[in-house]
Amino acid sequence: MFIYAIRRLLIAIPVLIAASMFSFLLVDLSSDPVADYKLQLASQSTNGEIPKGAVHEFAAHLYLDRSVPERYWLWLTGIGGRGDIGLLRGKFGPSILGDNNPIGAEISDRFMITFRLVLIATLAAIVIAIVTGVISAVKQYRRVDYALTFVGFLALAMPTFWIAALIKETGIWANQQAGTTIFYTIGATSPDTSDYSAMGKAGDIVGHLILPTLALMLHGYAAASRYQRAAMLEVLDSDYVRLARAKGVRNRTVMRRHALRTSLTPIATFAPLSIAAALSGAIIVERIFNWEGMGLYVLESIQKGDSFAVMAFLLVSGMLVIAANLVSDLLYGWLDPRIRYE
Amino acid sequence: MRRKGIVFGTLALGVTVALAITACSGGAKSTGSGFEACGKHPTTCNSGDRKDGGELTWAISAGWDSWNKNRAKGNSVYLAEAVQGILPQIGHFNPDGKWWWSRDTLKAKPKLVSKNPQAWKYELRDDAKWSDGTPIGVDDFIWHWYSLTSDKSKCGDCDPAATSYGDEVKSITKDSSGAIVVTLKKGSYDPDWLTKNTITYPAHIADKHGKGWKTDPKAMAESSKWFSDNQPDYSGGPYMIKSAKIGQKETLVPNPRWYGKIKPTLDKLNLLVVSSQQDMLKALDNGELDGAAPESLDPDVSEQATGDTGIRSNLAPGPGWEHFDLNVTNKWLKDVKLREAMLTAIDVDDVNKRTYGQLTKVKRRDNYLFNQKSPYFKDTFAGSSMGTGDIAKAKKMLSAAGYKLSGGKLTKDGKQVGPFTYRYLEGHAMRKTTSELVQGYLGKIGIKANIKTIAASQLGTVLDKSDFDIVEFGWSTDPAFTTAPQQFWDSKSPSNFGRNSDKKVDTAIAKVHSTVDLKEAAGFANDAGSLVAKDAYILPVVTTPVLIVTSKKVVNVRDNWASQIRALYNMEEWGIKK
Repeated sequence: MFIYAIRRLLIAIPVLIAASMFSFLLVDLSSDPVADYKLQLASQSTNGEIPKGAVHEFAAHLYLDRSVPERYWLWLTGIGGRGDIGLLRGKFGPSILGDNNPIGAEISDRFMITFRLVLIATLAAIVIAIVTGVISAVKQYRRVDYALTFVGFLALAMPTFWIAALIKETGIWANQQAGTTIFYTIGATSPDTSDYSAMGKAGDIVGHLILPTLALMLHGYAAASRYQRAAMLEVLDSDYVRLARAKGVRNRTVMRRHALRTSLTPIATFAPLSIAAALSGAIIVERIFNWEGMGLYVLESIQKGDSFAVMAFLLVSGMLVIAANLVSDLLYGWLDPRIRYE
Repeated sequence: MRRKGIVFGTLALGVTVALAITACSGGAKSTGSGFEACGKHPTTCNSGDRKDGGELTWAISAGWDSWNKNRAKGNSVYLAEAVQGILPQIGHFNPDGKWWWSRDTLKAKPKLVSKNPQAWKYELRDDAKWSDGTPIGVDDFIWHWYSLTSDKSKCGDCDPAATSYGDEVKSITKDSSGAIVVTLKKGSYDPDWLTKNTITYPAHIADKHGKGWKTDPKAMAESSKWFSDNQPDYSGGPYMIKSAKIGQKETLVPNPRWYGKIKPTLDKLNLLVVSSQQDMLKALDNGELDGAAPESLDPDVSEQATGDTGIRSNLAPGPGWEHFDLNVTNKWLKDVKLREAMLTAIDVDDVNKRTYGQLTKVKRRDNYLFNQKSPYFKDTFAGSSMGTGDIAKAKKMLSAAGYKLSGGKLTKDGKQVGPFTYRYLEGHAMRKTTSELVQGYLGKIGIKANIKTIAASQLGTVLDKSDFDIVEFGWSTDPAFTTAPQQFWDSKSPSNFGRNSDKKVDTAIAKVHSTVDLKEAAGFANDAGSLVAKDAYILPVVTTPVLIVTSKKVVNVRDNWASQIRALYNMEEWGIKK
C-alpha cells in the first residue's frame, strides 16, 4: 500500500504541473495588470502625467516585463528572480496587492477560514446523508422515502449560488421574526471580536457559520444521501442479511451490525472526495456570504490579474484534491479487504 | 396671550441660535433626521443628537493595499477612507461644495501672503497634537511635501501618488509668529492653494524609521515605505485604529487626544469591505451593517433600497459624470465636422430620461468641470447643437461637409463611413441602454455602430490603447478643478483617451495655473472647456447619481459628492440617534 501511495503521488506531479501551466496561461492572457495600473495612475494624476518610471517599476516588481514562459519558469523554480519567487524554494511570488499582502501569508490565513467551512459542511452533509439515506432505503417506496428523494433531487438540481441566496433570505427573515440577529450574512466573524468573552467569540463564529454551512452542505448531502440509499438497499438485499434474519437475529441488530456497517463503505470513500468538491463550492458560498477565505481571495485575484496569487490557490486546492483522491482510494482498500493494491 | 407668544418666540429663537452654534462643521443648524432635506440643506440633513457609546459598521466598496496614501502604489479612494479618521486635516469640502477650513487644526483661515512667488501661511492651534502628544508642526508639512515630489534629492524612492503640489513647492518654513509658510517656486501658481491638504503623516514617527529624512533622500524613502507597510498606531484625527486586516476590515476607536471640537461618541466604528451591493443591502436589512455609499450605482439595488422601509436611502448627484469620447485617430473621426454631426445626432436628454431618469431626476451635464450648482458653472454647450438629437441639423452638417446619405448609408468620396466600434464596461446596465440608443441615433444619419463591451479586466488596456471609436465611461471630479483640464485634455496627457491634440487647448490649459485667483482660474478652465467642445470629441452626458443607504439609528451621516471619501468626511460626528 505504501508503494501504491508513493506511485500515486508521483503520478500527481506531472498532473499538477500540466494543470498549473494551463492555468498560468489562462490567467496571464485574460488580463493586463500593467494597463490597469497605468489607468489607475492616470486617473490619480493631478497634472496629466504618470510619475516617471512608476509603470516600469510596477511591471518589473511583478516580473510582468518578462514573457509568459519566463514567468512560469520563474514561478516554478525561482531561477533568475530576486529571491521572492520560486515554488521549489517555497516562495509564491509577488502579489499585485503589494508587499503588505504576501501570498503565502494570505493563503495560510485564509486556508483555515475556508477549511473550517468546508470541513463542517462536509461532515454535516455526510452525517445527514447517512441518516436520511438509511431511512430512505429501509422505508423504500413509502412516503418518507419519496419525500427524502424529492428533497435530495431538489438540492441536487439547484445551483449552489441559488441555494445560498435563498438560505440568506431565509436567515434574514428568521432574524426579523426573532427581532435580533442570530444568523449573519457577511463575514466569517464580526469585524472586531477582541473584547468578546470566549463564549461570545464562539457564539459569533457559530452565528456566522450556520447559513454558509447550510448552503455548502446541501449539494454534498444530496449526492451522498443517494449513494447511501443505494448502498443500503444493496446490502439489505444481500444473502448474509437474509441469513441473519432467517437465524432470528433482531431487526435492529441486523440493521446496525450487518447492514449499516457494510453500507458505509461507499460513503466513507466518498467523504474525502466531497471535501474536494466542497472546496470548489466554497468559492461561490464565500462570495455570497463575503467570507474572507480562499475562495474570495482567488476570485479577487482573478479579477485583478494577480496570476501568482491564483497559482497559489490552484496549487493548494490541487494538492487537496490529489490528497483527497488518495485517501479515498486507500480508505476503500482498508474498509474492503477484497481490494488489493498492486 | 401676546406676551406668552413673545416668550415662546424668544425661547424658540434662543434654541435656534443655540442649535446653530453647536451644529456640525458646516456651521448651519440641524434640519432633522432623514435624507429628505439633503437637497436644500446638504450640510445639515440627517442630523441629530447622539447617544454616548455604540458601535457602527460602515461598508466600503473595495479593499486597500497599503497604509500610505502618498505613494502611487496603493493610493486609492479606499485607502483614503481607511485612513480618514486618523490623519489631520487642513479642511475639507462640505456637501454644498464649499471648502471648510478646519477649525480643529487651524487658528485662522489660511492666508495668501504673497502672489509672486506664491506663498500662503497656516496658523496651527496649540492643542493640535498627534496621539502621542507631539504637536503637529512644520516638519509634518515638510514630510508631506517631500513624499509628493519627484525630486530625487529630497526623496530617493517615494513613488509619489501625485507631484503637482510637491514639485512646485520651493520651501516650507516657520515664520517669526510660528505660522507655517508654504512658498511655491517663482512662476508657479496654484489657484487651489486654499483647498490643499498639506499634511498627512507624522514627521516625528518618520524620523524613527528614516533617521535624518530631512537631509537624506534614502532615509526619507525608508520612512515613506514604513508608513506604507505598517498599520498606523498613531493618529492626528478623531479616531485611532484598534485593529485591522488590510484590505478587509478596520475597527476605529476614539482618539483620546483628539483636539477637535466635535468628539466621537461611538465606542467603535468598523469599516468593512463589502464589494457586492446586493450583499451590502441584505446585511443592512439584517442589522449587520449601518450604512454604505457604494462607489457606483446599481439600478436594481437603488430600486430595492428606495422601496425598503426599514432603512434610509437617498439618490443624489455624485462626483462622477458620464461622457462619450470619440477617438480622433480613427481615419473618419479625425474630421471634426463628422464628429460634430455625430454628437449632434445623439439626444442626451433622451438618453438621460431612459437611463438614470428612471430612478431619479437628472439633468444633462453642460460643463466638463463644474456641476450646475457651482458658482463657476457656465453652459459650455450653449448655442451648440451637440447632444440635442437634432437629426435634421446633423444631416445638414454632414451634407455641408461633403458627406452623402443614401440608402441609409453615409458615404464620402464614394466610401462608406464607419462602421464604428462603440464600447462600454461590461455589466453596466445604464451604459448598455445608452449604447443601444446611440446605435439608433447614429443609424439615422447612416452610421453603423457595432457595440463591443469591455471586460472589467480589459478596461485599462482598452483606454490606454484607445481601442475604441466611441466609448462611454465616467470621470470623477471634485470642486478643486484646476488640475482636471490638463488631465482630461492636454495633448500629452495619458488620460486624454480620445487622443485629441490641439495647441489652442494646451495653451488655454496652461493659463489655468497662471493665476492665484480661483475665479480667474475658473474662467480660464471654462475657456479651455469651450475649445474642447469645439473640437467635438468629448460630450458630457450626466452627473451620475449615487446612492447612500443607512440604518435608521444613525445620525449625522450624509453623502458628500464633493469629497472622494463621500459620507466619511465628517465621521467624528457620526453617532447613534439619541
